[in-house]
Amino acid sequence: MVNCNLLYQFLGKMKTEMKRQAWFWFVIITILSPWLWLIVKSPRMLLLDPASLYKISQPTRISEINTLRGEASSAGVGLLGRLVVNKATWAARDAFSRILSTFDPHYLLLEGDVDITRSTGKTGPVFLTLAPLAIWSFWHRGRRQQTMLAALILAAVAGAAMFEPYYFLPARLGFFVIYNWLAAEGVVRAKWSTIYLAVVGFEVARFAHDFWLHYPYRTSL
Amino acid sequence: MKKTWLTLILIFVLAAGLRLVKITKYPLSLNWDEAAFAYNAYSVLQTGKDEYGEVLPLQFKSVGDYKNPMYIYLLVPVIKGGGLNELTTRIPPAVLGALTIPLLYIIAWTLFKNRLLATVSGVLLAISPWHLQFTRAGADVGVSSFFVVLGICLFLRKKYLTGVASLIGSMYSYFADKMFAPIMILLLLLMRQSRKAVLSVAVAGLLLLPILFASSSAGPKNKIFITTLLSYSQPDELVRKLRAEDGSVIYAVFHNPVVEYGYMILDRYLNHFSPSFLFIKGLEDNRQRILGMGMMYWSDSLLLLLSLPLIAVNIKKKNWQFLIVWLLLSPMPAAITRDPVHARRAFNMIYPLIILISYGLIELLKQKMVVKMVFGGFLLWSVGLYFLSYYVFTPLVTYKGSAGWQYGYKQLVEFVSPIKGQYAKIVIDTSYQGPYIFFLFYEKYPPLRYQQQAKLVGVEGLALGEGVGYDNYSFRPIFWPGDRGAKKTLFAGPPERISLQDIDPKSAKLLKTLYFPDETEAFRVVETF
Repeated sequence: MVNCNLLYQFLGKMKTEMKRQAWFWFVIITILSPWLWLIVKSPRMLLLDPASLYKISQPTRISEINTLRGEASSAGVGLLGRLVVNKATWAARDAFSRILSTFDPHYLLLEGDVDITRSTGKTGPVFLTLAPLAIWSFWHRGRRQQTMLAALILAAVAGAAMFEPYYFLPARLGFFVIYNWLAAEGVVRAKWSTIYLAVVGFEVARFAHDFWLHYPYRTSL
Repeated sequence: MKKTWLTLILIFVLAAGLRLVKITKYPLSLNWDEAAFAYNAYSVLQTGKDEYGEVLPLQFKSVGDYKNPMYIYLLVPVIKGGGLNELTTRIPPAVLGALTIPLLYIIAWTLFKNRLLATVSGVLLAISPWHLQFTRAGADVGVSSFFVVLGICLFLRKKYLTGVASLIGSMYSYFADKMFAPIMILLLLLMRQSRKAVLSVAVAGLLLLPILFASSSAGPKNKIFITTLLSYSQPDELVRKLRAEDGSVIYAVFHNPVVEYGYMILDRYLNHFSPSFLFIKGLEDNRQRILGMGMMYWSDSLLLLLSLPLIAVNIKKKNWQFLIVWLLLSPMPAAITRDPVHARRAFNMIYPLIILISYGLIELLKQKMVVKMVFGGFLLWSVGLYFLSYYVFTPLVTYKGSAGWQYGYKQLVEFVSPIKGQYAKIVIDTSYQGPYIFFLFYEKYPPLRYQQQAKLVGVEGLALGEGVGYDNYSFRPIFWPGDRGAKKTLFAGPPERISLQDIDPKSAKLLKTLYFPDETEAFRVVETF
């Protein structure tokens, strides 16, 4: 989850008026965020089901490891096969891939989870149009702040490694909050944001229209 | 100077070795595009015409689509020297791919004046899974990409005329570069802003005319139509449903073509930067796939991450801006096509990415020994996984059909060809697509004779269709309940087309069963009497 002290530390570098505005936009963006609306609609998704925890000893995974090692062995490279494909490397690979998957634009910005109860399927958990503002905001920090923020983001998505479903939303909430904060800061600091907000407004309206008019039909199927 | 040459030669030797070793075995067989490129080159060599009797065309009508001419014409002298076979078919992209590596070294050096960066870039490109994938197999993009990199290299070295000519050459090689090359020329012009460069573009631009003219005919235009999003439209039923739920005003605002196509294009474009595509799982397409990983090494993800702060610091410098714009422009041709993500069409991304991860590696080398050792282990594991996957795991899942490597046709031709005179008719099933081109290729059938018999039948989803047959060969779907009554005929097809229970020993006999690499059945060859 988000370390608030660090956020305050970043805020401390801003002027008071700017700080107030950033908080204002952060609250607005968060209230409008698709991930929040989805949680409100299906709060059960926040419940942690022990069955969804990642297990390296799952039969399909063990079978995959054994198959690949068998194939390597038949090809005469059994030792290499055992070094490359084993429980430890495969678990690390799976953990790494779940963390990296958070940043898949298709998931994050365009369609969200494949599970229709966890996503509308027409937008990601965060707004696409906020990405330029969030990136701008990240880019305009000093190198030290970037490193700290990158570490914070990594900590915020690390939990994703612990769950079986690839795009398990609750494990990424911290990252979505940071994304919203960066976007809010971008709104306040980027000179071009006033005009750009019209584009963001269009996406918000598009999401709202889909959420109220189309999504209920899709989930009822 | 002497040291530079030695470095370049060593990198080239490494690259050539990785691209040429066991080139006919991995990927495990020719696919129909490769066979078509090679047979058309053979046809040009023997007759000066393509398989349909067109004299020296600039668009080759062949299996599935219209092919660009560069690879085919480059193959002509290679086939003249080495004959029509798998090795000669795959040699041009492999050699040009290896030659691309020193060119990237020169580009990195010209842009950044950093010898270590140039060397690391060369080595990382030499071992890049993405680059190896499309330069080991006979892919036209491997040829095209060489001309792109050569063009950029020459232009940056102020050889404007030859640079632009080379970039235009890429437009004669691969579909996606018809869009990428002109944008790259504009970018280079913006970067150099020299009168001489503008004049060179104007002069070299004349080279564009033939390919523009050839591409504007009905067939190639249709290929562009079916490959790109232009051919996509929402199903009527969905449109009616959305209209009913929205009302006409809201529908017009949120579902108009600009919004719908805009999101689709953006989605496709951004997919090329996704960790899933680059590092985790790559693509489902068997001809682009490396099992268990993306198009780059797993360890490249960390190196790329390390290069990001450098971009932030240096983005105002012209050389960095060129590199980033190059990267951002590269997936554009892929973004307007129907596939959600495509490694071949976005192939030009690999070069700026390699330079960036090279910077990442140099950054990493400045870290503490423990960090370096941990990363070293990660790198070794990533490279080990790639070589295991490419040579052992992937061939066992990517062999089948036109979406894969179409394994089995060579073995089928080797069995059928020597006995073809014994039958009135030979029927080859088309379930795995394109059998005619493999029979022409492996039989080295005289092109002059084929040109007189060449005929295509339309197949849904293909711009063109399947070759119908030649001599006593007939290429069509087998319908065994109806076909089994035919006398003195040889049938070859997959097990689902010819059931063993339905082979009546009084009128038919199973002559041979051919197998895929995973030992499942590929073809049953049955004769009737």
